[in-house]
Amino acid sequence: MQDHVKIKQICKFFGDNKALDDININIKKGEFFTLLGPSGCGKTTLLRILAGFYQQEEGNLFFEDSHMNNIPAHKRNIGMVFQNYAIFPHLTVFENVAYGLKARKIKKDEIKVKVTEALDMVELSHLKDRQPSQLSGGQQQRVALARAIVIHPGLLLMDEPLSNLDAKLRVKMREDIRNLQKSLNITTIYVTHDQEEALAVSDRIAVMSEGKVQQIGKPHEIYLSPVNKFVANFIGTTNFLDAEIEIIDSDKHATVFVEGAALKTKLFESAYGKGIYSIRPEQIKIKETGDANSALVEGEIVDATFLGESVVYKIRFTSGTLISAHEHSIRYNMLRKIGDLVKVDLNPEEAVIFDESGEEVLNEHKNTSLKETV
Amino acid sequence: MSTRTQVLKKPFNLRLDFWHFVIIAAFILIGFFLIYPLFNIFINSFWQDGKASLENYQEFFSRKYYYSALINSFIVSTSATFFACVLGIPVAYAMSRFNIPFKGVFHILIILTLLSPPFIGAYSWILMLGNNGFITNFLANIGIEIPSIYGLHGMIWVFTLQFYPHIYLYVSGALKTIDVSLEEASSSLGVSGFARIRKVTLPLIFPTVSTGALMVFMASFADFGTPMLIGQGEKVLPILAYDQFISEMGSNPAMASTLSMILLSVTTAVLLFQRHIMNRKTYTMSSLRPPKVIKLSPVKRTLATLMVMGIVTLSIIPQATVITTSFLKTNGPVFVGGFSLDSYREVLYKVPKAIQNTFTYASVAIVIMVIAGLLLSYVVVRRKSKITSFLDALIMIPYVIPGTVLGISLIIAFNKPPIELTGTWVILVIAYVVRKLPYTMRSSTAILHQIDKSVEEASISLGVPPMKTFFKTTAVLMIPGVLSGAILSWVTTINELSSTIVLYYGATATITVSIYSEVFTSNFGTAAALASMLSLATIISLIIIMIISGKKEISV
Repeated sequence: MQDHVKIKQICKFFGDNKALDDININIKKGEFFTLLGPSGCGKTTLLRILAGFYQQEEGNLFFEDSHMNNIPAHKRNIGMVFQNYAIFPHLTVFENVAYGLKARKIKKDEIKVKVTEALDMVELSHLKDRQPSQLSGGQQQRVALARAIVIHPGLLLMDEPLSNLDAKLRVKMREDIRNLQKSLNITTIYVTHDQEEALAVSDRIAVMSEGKVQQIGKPHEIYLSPVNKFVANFIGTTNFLDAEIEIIDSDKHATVFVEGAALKTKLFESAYGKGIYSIRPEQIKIKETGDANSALVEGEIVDATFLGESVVYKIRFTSGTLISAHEHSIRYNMLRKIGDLVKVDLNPEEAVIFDESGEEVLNEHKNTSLKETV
Repeated sequence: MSTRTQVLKKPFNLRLDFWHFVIIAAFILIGFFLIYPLFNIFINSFWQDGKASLENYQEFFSRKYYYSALINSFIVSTSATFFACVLGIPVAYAMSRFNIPFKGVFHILIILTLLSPPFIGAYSWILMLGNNGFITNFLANIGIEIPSIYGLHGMIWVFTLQFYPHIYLYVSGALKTIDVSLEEASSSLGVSGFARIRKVTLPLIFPTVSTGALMVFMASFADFGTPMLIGQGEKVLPILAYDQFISEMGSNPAMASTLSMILLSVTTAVLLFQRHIMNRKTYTMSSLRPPKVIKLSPVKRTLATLMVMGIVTLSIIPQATVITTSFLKTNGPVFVGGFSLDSYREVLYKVPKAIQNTFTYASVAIVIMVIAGLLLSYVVVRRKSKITSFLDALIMIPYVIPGTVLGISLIIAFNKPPIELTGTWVILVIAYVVRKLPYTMRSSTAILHQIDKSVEEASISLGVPPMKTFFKTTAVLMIPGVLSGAILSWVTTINELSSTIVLYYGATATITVSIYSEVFTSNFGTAAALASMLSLATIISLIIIMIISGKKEISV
């Protein structure tokens, strides 16, 4: 598929502070691409460079084959949806949506048709004569969405559009946005700090931190095979355990010692010494104490939180380390009690082992093969 | 697909946009009409007989004639500030915490008091308590002698009643943002009633009181008309500066400049002192639970109402007196009994030009202030940088410049070629814009802070270029704020005396100047008619502000 947006080596400074550091991203036509990261990671800065509200100090930006660096914001044909809606408070709903069309000198009757169509898409046609102050937050954001798509923008940019809405509305709106984006096949770049939202709507996600792209991948890729400790920690929840790595043969098979258990794994490259063992709560298997496998770690249940479909257990190992593990709650007699002694299978097949700094993945795991599907 | 991957080191051209020109133009105009004249009098004050010296300053501090004016100014201003607090704080407390009837009416009357020119108040008190005042005469007839209104105590009386609204307005604002749980916490710890007010409420509103007090001090210190009418021999600094400048015995611009510099140093020092206190004692309060209005028992309610009503009535009496006087039959200074419109007829016949001038100049000034307020507040708020912060500070300088000083500085700067503006209407408009723009700026920046920045970005991304975007979105949304500020500037412009009296020249006389000269020639009827016209214009303007801003309250 053709690349629609090409971000090449872009750097942005605010004073001495490097807000964006050598960003390289290619976004495909029709793709729903999300910039995900904690606040201050540079995701909004990057979005504003795409929109033309900021200028990068270094690097190039291309839309298809056009070089965009010197194209001012109002000539970029971008639809933008803002966190705080940015509805024109002095115009009616209809006038808000018609605003961009008027700027394009489109005929009046044509404007009416297009605005009506756009308002239908966001299910707001019945409110077209309202003043924005009479609308709820969710309705205002729909107006903003209609206003952005009615001009048939080359690119749709969304800056945390749902963060001011309540939880239930957020889920409904994100589904609506996703469906609308698919049916219009419009290249969309979406900024959020909410990893669940990002996983739910995106074709691909760029996880950002401290002005750098940490990982670009499909939602399941960044969840199942994070490339570094930051991504593993930011997406979902995980347990980090101290590990000691010993190579056992020339084929990079290794033994990893975690909490006294000797776990077998295969490394990409020879490595030994300290490492970080990352295992997600749902990848951990809880076994009975009778199990004599030497790869299991003994522990005690110290806390249990019942969530309906699953139970989150906090388990304390004999070393004092705490981990959390999920178990599906299917039957009464499967529920464990606080104080129960258990053995824990740390599941090295699915675990990701990082080097001591947390920057690099050392081992091949069950989901390593995913990477080649990109 | 392959693309160029080289990194452009300088990918952008620095382009000057419209706002850069606004900033440059603002600096040039401020430099020309504010900084240059002030610098001029600064230099002038060190100049005697063609050479630089400290002689003027030495003379000022060695001759009682001069330094006693400074002492008088201090006595009057500090006493007026103190008494204004004594009146203003209780009124504000009662109005915002208790269920007093007719609050709206009281509020409007208080604002009206503030906006009417102080010298009209002074003149009106002369009508009542002067040597031939009707109260004086009435009391004399029944055998009671009262001290004359003339003198320092008269000025203090007039300034207190005129300027306590500053305290009232600031304190009411502060009382609304106090978190009531602080006071409740105090009560639960056993401190309540007046002790609570003294130990919790007053310290919390102290910074705001000090801002209001600063306003009172500045206004009393800089006022020209009141001491001129009511001082009678007791001189204060602005009068002295004016005398030195426009003396029949041959003017002394060097001494006038020196006096101006001393006036400016005092106002600046007081401002800095107040800022210093503010920085040390400011508490940020997020009003989680703003205080509720307390329902008083009937007796207490009556007492509180009487207190507020008494003070408000006392301060509005001058207005009422002036308006009544304007309808009295007069023959020169003598009231001959009965009502008539003679005074108005005479005014229209005698000084039609002054009336026309006042409204023309103020209207030209308001147009300039609306445009300047719109553009400059945008630059200051949305293009925040060291340069625009400096610009903001420069625009606010006139707050500390007494009108007389500004007038003198403008004349000295522009009374000779190449730029000769003295005696033209242009110099009056310049003075008005420079002095009153801060009002417009304040309300313009306030409304701009409430307008969402991304509204403009939304418009730009929809294809509307930045300049057009500004006029289609932000400018439209700013209009109510800019206009209500500009109208306030307009109101204070038509009531302006202290710089006009220095700058006017025969044909450019305004209503305030005419009132002043009518009072001096004891034509009280015509003076009252002119003053009533100003009051009417002020009231209408206030109503317009309230309609525009859609609020019941006005912040001055």
